[in-house]
Amino acid sequence: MTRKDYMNKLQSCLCFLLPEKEIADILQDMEECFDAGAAEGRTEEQVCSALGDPKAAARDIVSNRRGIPNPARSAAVPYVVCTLLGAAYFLYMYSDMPIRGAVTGTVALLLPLLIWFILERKNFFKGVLAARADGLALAGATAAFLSAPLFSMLANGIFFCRPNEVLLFSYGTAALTIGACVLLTVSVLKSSLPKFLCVFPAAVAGMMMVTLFLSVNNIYMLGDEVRKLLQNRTEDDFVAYLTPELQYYFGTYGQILSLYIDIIIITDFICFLWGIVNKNAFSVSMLYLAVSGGCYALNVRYALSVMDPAAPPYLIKFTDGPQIYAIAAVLVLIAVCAARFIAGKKEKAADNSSKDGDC
Amino acid sequence: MEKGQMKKGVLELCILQVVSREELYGYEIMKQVTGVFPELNESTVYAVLRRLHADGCTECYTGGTSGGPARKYYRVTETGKEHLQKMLDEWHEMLAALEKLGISTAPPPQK
Repeated sequence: MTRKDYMNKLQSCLCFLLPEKEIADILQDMEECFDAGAAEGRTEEQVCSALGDPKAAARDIVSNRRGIPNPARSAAVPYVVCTLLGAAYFLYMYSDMPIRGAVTGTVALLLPLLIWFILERKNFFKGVLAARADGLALAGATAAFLSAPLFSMLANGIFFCRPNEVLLFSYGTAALTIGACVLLTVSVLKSSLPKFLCVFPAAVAGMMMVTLFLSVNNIYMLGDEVRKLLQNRTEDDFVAYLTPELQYYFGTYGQILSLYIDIIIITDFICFLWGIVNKNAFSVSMLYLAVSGGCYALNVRYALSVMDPAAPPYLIKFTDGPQIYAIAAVLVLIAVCAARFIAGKKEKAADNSSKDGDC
Repeated sequence: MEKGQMKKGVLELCILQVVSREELYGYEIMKQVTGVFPELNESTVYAVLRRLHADGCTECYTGGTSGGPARKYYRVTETGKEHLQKMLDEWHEMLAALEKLGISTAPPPQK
């Protein structure tokens, strides 16, 4: 291993685990070690070998540092809160079958957490990096579950959902999603990751704000016309209700939404590619955002195509929104489990080989 | 017990002892400690050194070497001295307890 390889690996292992300033300080110390080693005539490889595996070094540094939150625990808290909210949503959706709704919601949302929790307790997974990647992605998957009904409602629910459903639930969850995106933006800015990566969560937050504004305006400013629309559950009915005033209104805001959608598609593509190229922990979270952002973009594209028949054809029916998001969330969880399993296996193999070396 | 665990436990004591004897830069501290415990990685020593520094047991200053680049030197603080003394007391208590149990703490005879 060369000096550059060691430094890159150490940096990527510490990424997101410690503040940027601290990582820079550690890297500076390591650079000093390499310089001092070189002054003594040691090769880069000899210094790397004396320092040990960079992944183990990152683990030692982090485990010796006080005040590091347990990623598993910190991810579990929002998950449980979101589960309760999700269960309440399912309960409401199945209000004619309250027990089934509550059970379905709770099981669907708690099951992945339960499986993950058991595996965590059994020390099935190892690796600091894998743990933090999991924490982030788990929070992402949680948001996917939660935002499934939300995005669907915001994209098409204003036309097909019960009015109070939109008001009571989607605005609350929209605020939550905006908050999560803002937090993600801030955490990217404070981490050692490239700053441009914050563009994507910031764009999602912006898009949500515009959508929220659009929804509020639809209901409160257009008054009766929109209220009538809200009573209608089919696409044909909705089109029949499109008055010139509404067409103008949706057309204007549709342009703004379209712009945001383009930003989302471009930025999530860049971020996702960056994650793959750098094999960074962040890529897992970006995967979630890419999937959900892409699905949402397609949803809105379709909604716009209904308003404007000349718009490009749609790929996914917007009424499929919740299912798509739920599937995306499950896929992300599976991907995370697989990634952690592989990371754990590799680390166990590395441990075994180092023990063999000791003997 | 995993090999090296007991040594890791006394690492704090060793690092503080090394730093209290002489003001050294990080690389030198790591080298001295791994010199007596070769199965430990230098990065393990570095991690403990960072913790001791965060706890206020050591302080840093930038010093130059003759003709070489500036380096981060560590020296023990008053807190560090107290901590070292406390650990040494505990260490001696442990040795006395082992002696009472009939476990010899004298080094094995040289072959």
